Amino acid sequence: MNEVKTFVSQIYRRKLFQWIINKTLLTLSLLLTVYLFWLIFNKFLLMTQAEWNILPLTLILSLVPFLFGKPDISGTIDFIEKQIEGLKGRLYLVMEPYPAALDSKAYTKRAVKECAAILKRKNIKKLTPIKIDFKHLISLVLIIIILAIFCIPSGGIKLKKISENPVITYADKKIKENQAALIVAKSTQLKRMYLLSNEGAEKMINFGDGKFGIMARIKKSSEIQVGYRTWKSKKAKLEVSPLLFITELELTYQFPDYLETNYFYDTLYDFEEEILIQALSGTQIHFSGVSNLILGDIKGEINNTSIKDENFSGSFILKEKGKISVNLTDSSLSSDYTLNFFIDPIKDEPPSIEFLFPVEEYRLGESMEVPLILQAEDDYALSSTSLIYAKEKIELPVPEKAKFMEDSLTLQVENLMPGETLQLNGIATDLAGNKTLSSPILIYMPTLEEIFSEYQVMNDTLKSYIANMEDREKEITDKIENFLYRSELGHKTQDEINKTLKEQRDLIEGMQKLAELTEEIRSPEISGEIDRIQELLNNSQVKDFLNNLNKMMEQRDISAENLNNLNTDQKDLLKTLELFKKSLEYLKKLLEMNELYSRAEEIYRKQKEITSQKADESSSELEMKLAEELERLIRDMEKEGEEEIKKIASEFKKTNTIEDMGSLADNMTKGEMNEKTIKTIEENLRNLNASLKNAIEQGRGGELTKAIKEKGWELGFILRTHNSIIDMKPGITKGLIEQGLMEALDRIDRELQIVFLKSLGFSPDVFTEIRRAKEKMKALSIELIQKKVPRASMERVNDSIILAILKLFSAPPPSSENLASALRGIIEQQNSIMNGLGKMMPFPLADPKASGDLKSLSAKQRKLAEDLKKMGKAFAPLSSEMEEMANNLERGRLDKNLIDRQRKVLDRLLEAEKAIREGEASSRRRSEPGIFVSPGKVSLPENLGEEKKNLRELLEKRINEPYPEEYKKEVEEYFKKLIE
Amino acid sequence: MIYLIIPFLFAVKDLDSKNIKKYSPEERRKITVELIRQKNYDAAMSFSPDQNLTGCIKILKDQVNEGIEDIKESAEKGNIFSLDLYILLNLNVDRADLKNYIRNELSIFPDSTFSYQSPFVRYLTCDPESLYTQNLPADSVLFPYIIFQSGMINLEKDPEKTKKYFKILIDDYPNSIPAIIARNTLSSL
Repeated sequence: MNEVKTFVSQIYRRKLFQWIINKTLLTLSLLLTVYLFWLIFNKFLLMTQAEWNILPLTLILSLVPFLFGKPDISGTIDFIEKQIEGLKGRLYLVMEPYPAALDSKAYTKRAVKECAAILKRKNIKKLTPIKIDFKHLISLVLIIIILAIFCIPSGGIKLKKISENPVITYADKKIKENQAALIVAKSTQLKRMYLLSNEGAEKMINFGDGKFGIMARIKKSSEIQVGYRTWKSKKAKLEVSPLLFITELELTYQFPDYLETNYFYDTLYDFEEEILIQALSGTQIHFSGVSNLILGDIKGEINNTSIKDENFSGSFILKEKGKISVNLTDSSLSSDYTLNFFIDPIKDEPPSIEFLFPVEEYRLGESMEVPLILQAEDDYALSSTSLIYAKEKIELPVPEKAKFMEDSLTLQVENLMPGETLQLNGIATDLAGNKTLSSPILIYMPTLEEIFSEYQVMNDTLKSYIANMEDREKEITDKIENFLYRSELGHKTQDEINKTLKEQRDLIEGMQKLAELTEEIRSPEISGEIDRIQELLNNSQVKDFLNNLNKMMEQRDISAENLNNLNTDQKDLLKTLELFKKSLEYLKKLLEMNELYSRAEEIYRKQKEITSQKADESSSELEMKLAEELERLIRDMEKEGEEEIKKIASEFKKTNTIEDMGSLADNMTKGEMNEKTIKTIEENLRNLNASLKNAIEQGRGGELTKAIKEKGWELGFILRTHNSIIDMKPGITKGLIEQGLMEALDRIDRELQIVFLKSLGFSPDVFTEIRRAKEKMKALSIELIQKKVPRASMERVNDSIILAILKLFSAPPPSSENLASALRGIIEQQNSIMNGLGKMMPFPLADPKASGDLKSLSAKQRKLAEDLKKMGKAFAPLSSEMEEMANNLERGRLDKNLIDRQRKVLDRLLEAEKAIREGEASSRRRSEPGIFVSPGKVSLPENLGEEKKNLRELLEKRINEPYPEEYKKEVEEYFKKLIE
Repeated sequence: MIYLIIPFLFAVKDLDSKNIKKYSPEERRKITVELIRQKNYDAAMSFSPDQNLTGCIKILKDQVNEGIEDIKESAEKGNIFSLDLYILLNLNVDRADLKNYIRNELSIFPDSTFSYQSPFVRYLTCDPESLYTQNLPADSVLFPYIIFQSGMINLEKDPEKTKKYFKILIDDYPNSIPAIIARNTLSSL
């Protein structure tokens, strides 16, 4: 009996032990999970004091599993009965309390015996093995790992006490309905923040540094708070103004008087903000309406405005197609409403007018009369017709309310010079005031070309006439020189002088006449010569000379003193020329300094471009090349004659930027971009640029630097003024302001050309932009008088002026050396693309990797085309060819033809580079200052490259300015060297 | 239980970067300006919707050289304020003036005791008529511009006043740039 009981109790204890293990693991898992939950809760959501207090209670929950599933004796007996089939209920006879009083003791004994025999053979450990449940263990291990990694290192559970509530640092107090309000709050302890209003909670954006903000759309006035959970700010009041709208609108149409019709009324209750008004042009519209709020103000391009309480009224006249806006504001000035009338006037068709005779043009004869036949017509009635020419106007009689008229008359023309043309127009006006201008008739006097039987004869005549004048001028100059060397001026000599001076005056007057007469001639050869004469005549020194001459002639005072005065004028001219020569030396120096500056700027730009790319071998190679370029620049700066530049170079060397660029390039090959090194390099390069710019400004002299700044300011003024009239109503005033702006810009242009010539301190592209702006403004000044021009047209002028200002303060364009070096870079890249393509031939698309490579090569090719395009118009055809090749590569069209095209492009690039390098070498060889030689007749070379075009034009102009003949060739030669 | 915790960790992560994107440029501008007002330049920079504002913030942070590049690019896109700022930078205007000029443009007004040292900034920020009545030296380079501007602001509402200013300009500064425009305009008034 005892053996059986012992067996059962042993089984029971083992089962109890197994239960305790399982529940302990589960409880431990629960305990750690609850702990983890609180850690996370505390970290992300923060805990209040109350939550902190209930934390221990929640830990008790983890003991709940121990309340369930504890094993007992009956369960153990059941278990044994099920496990050992041979027992078949015997245990129930043996184990208390199952045996009943009526059970036979004999049976019980027998059962005990049999049970003991069966159980003896059984192994308790096998029957109830003790094991640890794997699923409980896994959960526990995972939780412990999470705790170890994320939570325990950060200090475990600890209450983050929030000591102060958040504060609203800024909040819009008043907004309109549907408008967003800005609310900014501060809390150094909270990690998240919500805006709390009547409309719920909205999360605010964390700006960092304990600041939060939101643009909240709140519909109704309410009190707002910011906060998170129990931590809340004080309440702030946000007032939302109701929207203003119109409940009723009445329109009254008052048609033009000449229609003789009654008023028309229209009442609108349900309408949009935009109302279409279609009526006869000239109709007056009276509007009156009622709004939902008491009104405070009414504004717009309207007349007769009035407001009273919720009522408002006003009027306007239909003129052009467009929009008239009426702005209503409520009495609290917090809400407004814009009522838009879209005007689509039905036009009273303008009259028509035309000349039946003559058609288009009429050549004046000796009588100077023009016979005219004129016809005019209108759909309603004509009110007047007239003729206009020059500033004259002739009214023609029209029968009252006539729809049609025809008139013939003869016009007498006076004071028309050969080559001049008079434009004659007819104007018809109808009762509505519509005016129509007829096509013009051009009435002209034959030009000089026509007067001469053959144009070529005229051309040759003028040329020989000019040549003759030049010879005579030389003779007169010689004569005056002779008079000056004579010791005494006797009567005879005075007569000779008188005669000579008269000849000189006649000559100059002859030149003036010739200039006037030949103004109309379009031959570039002649007009070039005439321009030169005009410039000569307009020169202030020549004018002074002529004035002195006239004075002497009028007063008949040909004394030695006066002749000496004339000679002094000559000496002044020579002094000016000397100064001019000195300025040339100075210009050369400036050119060299500008060259260094623009190279330094280019290096900085390239540095930024390289570091914006991905770090790889290709970018590393570019960086290495850039370091070499920088080294060359510093070497050239050290060779420079100027001490200041040498000093800048030596200071820069101390920064070890070139070495830093080398190490950056090394890192790039490993795919690393060292941000700190990049920042240092860029900073050093920026400082280098600033030092060079400063040196140039100092070398240029304070006056010129000041002049450039002054012109920049003036251009800014033109821009601001132009911008301010964009929204002005079209009309004469607007047109005249635009014209004034154009004239002012023209003067700035002229003055800036002188500054440029003296300083060469900015890009000559400034003039291209100014000219562009002037051309547009010229056209606009006329258009703006008559009509509203698109905003974009006005803004295009702004764009040109903006570019002019930006270029005025920028470095001059890079020289041929930079051009050649940039071209060399492009050639190398083009070569690498060709090599890459060569390796892929003949079937690039079969291999997916090759397909990817082809894509990358096509992208490189496109980038190269863009780079080449930036180098000037001269490279545009090559750049287009490259773009075309990139297109082909993108489409996967890689064949022999493409490789041949690549080769041709490369050849052309190499030729271009060679040409630039040779030009550079010859320029260096010959650019020694102060050596004047007298070669034969020289002319400026045409092919100077795009970037020097403006410089060349200006210098050519300066060459054409008057100075003594003996210096002419030397100065021309010097200029030629300078701009080569 | 462990499977519930992982999604929870994802759920609570910060979503501010997504929130920034939902704002329109105007709203971002308003926020940026407010952050500039609070001198929280780093946050303002991350919110800045355009190069003009970015350049301004850099200048306010004393990163002038970097700021110039942004300002120049913004001017190239047609921003007149950026261009004025670029001109002022090239005129070597006093830094404090420059910063306050930016603040003024952003409606962050400097305190009442502040006065601009540079006449250029004064011209760009102050009412021309009040500048005209101040005791500026008669040979001030900007005087013709101030007179012209005084005339221009009255052009639509009081042409007679404009006429008066333009006449003064033409008589006193006949060779100035504004006088050319005034001379042209006067005939239509």
